[in-house]
Amino acid sequence: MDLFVVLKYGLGVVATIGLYSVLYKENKFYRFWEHVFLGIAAGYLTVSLWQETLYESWWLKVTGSIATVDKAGNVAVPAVPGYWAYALLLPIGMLGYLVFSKKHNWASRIPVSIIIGLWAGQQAQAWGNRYLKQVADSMRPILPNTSELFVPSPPANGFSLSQKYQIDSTVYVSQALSNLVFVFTLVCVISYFLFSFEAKSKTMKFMTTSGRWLLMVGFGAIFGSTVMMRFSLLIDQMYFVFQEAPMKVYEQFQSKPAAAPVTPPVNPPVTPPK
Amino acid sequence: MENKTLAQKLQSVPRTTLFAILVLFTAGPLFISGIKIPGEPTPEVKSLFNKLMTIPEGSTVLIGSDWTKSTRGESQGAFRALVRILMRRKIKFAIYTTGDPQAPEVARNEVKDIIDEEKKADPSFKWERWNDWVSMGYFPGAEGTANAFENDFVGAVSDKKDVTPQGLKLSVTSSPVLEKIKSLEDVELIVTVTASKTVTIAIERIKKAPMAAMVTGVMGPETRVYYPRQLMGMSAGLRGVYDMESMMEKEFTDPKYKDLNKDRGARYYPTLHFAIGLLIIAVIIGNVGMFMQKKEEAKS
Repeated sequence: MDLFVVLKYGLGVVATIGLYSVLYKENKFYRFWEHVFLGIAAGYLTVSLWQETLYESWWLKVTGSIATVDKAGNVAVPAVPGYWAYALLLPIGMLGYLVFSKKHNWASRIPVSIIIGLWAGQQAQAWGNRYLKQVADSMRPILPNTSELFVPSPPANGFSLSQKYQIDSTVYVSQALSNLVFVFTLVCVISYFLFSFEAKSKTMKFMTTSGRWLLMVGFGAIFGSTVMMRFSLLIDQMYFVFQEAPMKVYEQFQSKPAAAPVTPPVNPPVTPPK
Repeated sequence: MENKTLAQKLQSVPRTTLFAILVLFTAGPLFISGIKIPGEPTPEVKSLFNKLMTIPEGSTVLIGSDWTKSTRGESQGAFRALVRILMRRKIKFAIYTTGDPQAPEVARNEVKDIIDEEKKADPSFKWERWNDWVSMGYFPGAEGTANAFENDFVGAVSDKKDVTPQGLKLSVTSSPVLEKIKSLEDVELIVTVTASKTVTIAIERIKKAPMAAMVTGVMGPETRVYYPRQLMGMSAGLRGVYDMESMMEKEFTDPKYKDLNKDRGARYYPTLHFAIGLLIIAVIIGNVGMFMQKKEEAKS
């Protein structure tokens, strides 16, 4: 039995129940586990930040590393020299903490301005990559060029290349309808955000009102999706408390200690017949 | 004690009672196995699955694992389905994180668990760290990392080390997973399993490799706009996980995979329907109570 596994899952269940106990009312049991959670999270974050990032990407670059030798005595990883100039990144980063000093807080703007400069420089390209393809995708045909209602289902062995081209160049009735709904929604929602002039005409009023309603439908769908996610998290915790943890602990109690390795019987030395 | 009318009672069900019923509705159905939810997988999930099933054996896929225990309910199922498919199809993968320093450890533990489960089902199964998969760890700054990947992938990851079967810590670029990758163009697919906007940041900066996403329900609506132009496939929330698993059931029909195919999606998605049903009933009861009270007030 691995006591660590039993403790890990046992404490996990107690902590989960402790954190959910706030739903009944505010209590000390909840407060205790909340502090434990925050403490562990902060400690874990610090260690993982050092191990996962700073050590390999910065510290080893400053100090270099000695050669690694494998069991046979061969050099597996050659020594790497350190580059002391990387150490200069530390004071630049530490300037950020001067934000707490009344006298020197201007210096904290230096690292911030470097980050903002880097970020701003990327934005033109980032904006293009993100939105231009969507703008192109908004130009959709709303008139069908066939009387067929639906896109044909693929046969068991799939479409041939020529069939694929033909399907791609055809606008089926169902596609045209779907595109119409899309284009109508897009135009209405955009007109809702036209603040440059007052919407006085009946058409504009209809468009902006429809835009508002369609936005509400969209927000409703997003909210529904969010609620479903919150439920998923609760279901996962219920699974952990009622099934996963008891199963893992049960497995530990069921497991037998590993049997000693079986050594082949040693044959007695054969004595030659006299 | 004040006598409450039925309308008032319907609107003031004690909170503790409601939570107790919720626990029953979310824990109870987990014990019922084999509940099937009718429906076709969504086109974006189909597209992702088809891509994963057509990647040549031995190729390399990058997995952006940007989730931790806080979104385990959805992201874990998505990650497990993805990794299982890659392992069964012998596609090598490298895991990286740009969202949270805790995520690499979560991903490594998850891969280890999946390998153990697959080995239990098939003792001949072998999937080795370093030779078949590597963990590249955490890259701070999603924007800078995506830019570096796009411009010089080898330079961006050469500092990252992973453990060989002999116990040596070597640069991941010398591993069998990444030794042939000279640029992102050599990567078959980048799949980002995320609970945040890291997939959007990648879309804004990466153009050399096709991308797919497995996101949470919250991120689903705003990520769906990128399909199919910027993402060749995606799955969102528990529905996406359930769809992936149902397609895995049809594709991996070997009896040894029967129980493994039905993972988190098959367990959680039917349960979610019970919880949503309870929510709808609660909303109806509250509204009926409100209308009854309004009627009573109008009469008096």
